[in-house]
Amino acid sequence: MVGEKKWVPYAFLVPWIIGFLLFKLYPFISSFVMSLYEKRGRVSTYVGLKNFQMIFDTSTYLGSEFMNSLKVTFVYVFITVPLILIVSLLIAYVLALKIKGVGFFRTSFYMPTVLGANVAIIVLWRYIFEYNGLINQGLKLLGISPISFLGTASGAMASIVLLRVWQFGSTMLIFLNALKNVPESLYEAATIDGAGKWRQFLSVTVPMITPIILFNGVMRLVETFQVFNGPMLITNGGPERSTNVLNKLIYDIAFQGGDLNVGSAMSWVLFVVIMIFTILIFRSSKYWVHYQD
Amino acid sequence: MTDVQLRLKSHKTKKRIKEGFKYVIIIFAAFVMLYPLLWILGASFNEGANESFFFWPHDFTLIGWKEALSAPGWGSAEGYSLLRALWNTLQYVLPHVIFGTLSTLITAYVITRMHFKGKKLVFALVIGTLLMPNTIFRIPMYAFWTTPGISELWDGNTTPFMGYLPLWAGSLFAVNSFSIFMFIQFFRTIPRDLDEAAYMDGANKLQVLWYVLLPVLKPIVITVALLLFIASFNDYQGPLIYVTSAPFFPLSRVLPMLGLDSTNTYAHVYARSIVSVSILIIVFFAAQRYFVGNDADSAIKG
Repeated sequence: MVGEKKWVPYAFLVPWIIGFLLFKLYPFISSFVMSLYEKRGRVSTYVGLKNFQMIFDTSTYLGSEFMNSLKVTFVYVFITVPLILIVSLLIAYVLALKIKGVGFFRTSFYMPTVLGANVAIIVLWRYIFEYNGLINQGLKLLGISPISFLGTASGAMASIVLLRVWQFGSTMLIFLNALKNVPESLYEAATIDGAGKWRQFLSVTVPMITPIILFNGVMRLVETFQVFNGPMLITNGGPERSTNVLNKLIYDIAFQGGDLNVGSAMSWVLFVVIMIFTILIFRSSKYWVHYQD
Repeated sequence: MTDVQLRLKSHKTKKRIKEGFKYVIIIFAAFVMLYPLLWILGASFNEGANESFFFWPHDFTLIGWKEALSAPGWGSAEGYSLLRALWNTLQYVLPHVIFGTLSTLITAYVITRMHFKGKKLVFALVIGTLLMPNTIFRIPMYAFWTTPGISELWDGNTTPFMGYLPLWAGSLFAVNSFSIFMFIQFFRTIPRDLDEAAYMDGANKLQVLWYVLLPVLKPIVITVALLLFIASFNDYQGPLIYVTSAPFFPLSRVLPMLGLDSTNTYAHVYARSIVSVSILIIVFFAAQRYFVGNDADSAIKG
């Protein structure tokens, strides 16, 4: 722009700059610094990597708790993320097949995403998974004997996984939009070659939207590694710590127990784990993501 | 009928069956997704636990709905009701939505429509922080907000909105990278000729944003505001950490306390939950034609 003053853009950016420095950079560095200290009474002393050694020492109570939480979180993430991607992609694919009343269905499938994360509904999720709750009543109709969802480790995990998978709406909308951008001519060519719908889905649709699968996958990975609400409100980490995910352990240690330093060390481990997986996925993307043009 | 006609007809029937098949799938899927919500609605009219797959209440009662706004067990003073918890919730949801939308809109506007040194760095930081797990910020921010001198600003502050400052202060400063990202995606679809014409007429940067771009941006503004609303309204860990005194409890703190007991039946718990999410449902339906409509689709493109 001719005659535009150089400082104008920076003036508009001031809020973002403050936000970045105060709410992102500062806590990012501060949490690492905090993880290197130990607090006794009111005195903080530098202890180096002692907190990290402690949480990785599985012979102690804290270490075994941490290892358990790390394991439980992995199980949760690696079941939940693929399930969300598969369910949302399949639903989006069917919705993209020129269906009447698409608007109605899109809204219906988005409803659980709006409501499912709310405390009011999560509290009820507990009743739905009770021994005599909705899910077991449904299983009974199918001739399956009731499952003690909240009383067993795998059942409890299933209930918090299903709560999250139920909320696949945002992922589905992003897929749906991507599917609309797949050129019709590709499908026509595949039809001429005699490919059925299922074959088209696997060899035309999926390759064309791999960039979106990558985006959705990474976003969900980062999010699900930090799961908190379900394990806190439905299972309270139980039974026997089997759903005591990392974010809940960090909450217990830092905010219930008041040990912000060990909590920070755990947050950093979680951060590093998330980063490693994100980098691995991006590295692997050159083998399976197809970019147009 | 000739052989060809017969074959054509059977082909058509096959096609029709295939057509029908996708509706069967989609209707079945929608049923599975929505049935828990319908069942919850039915259970709110049922005396005792609904021990059946069928949602229709077998012991019909209105007691849950009649007493839906009461909140026994939360605080002891008069005036503790679900409405109060709702107002407490809105005291951080409203600032979060309003400031969050405005600040990220302006940030995205600068990044996409202005030239300045360091633009690439700013964009990279926005994208980079998109993937930053919030967990890592939480403990230091808590330490920050509870520092003597800063905690007096908000802790126990009865001025509306101020008691919840730590839950919405960040939105003043465009901390929501995902909102910035969505705005950037949308800005890129708007031709620059639109701005240029307005500059020719002598408009300044803010006037261009407000009068020229905002009408075009309406769907994305509503989408971002809606997503911020949902995220903030559904936030649980934030209030759990910062809101510790009973009179300040928002819905997300009050509801888990009001489980089944001598005064609360299943009907109470279910009805109260539905009342609590009703504002969420209303806002969603008011905004959803922009949100899930075609206009906004391009905005949430990856």
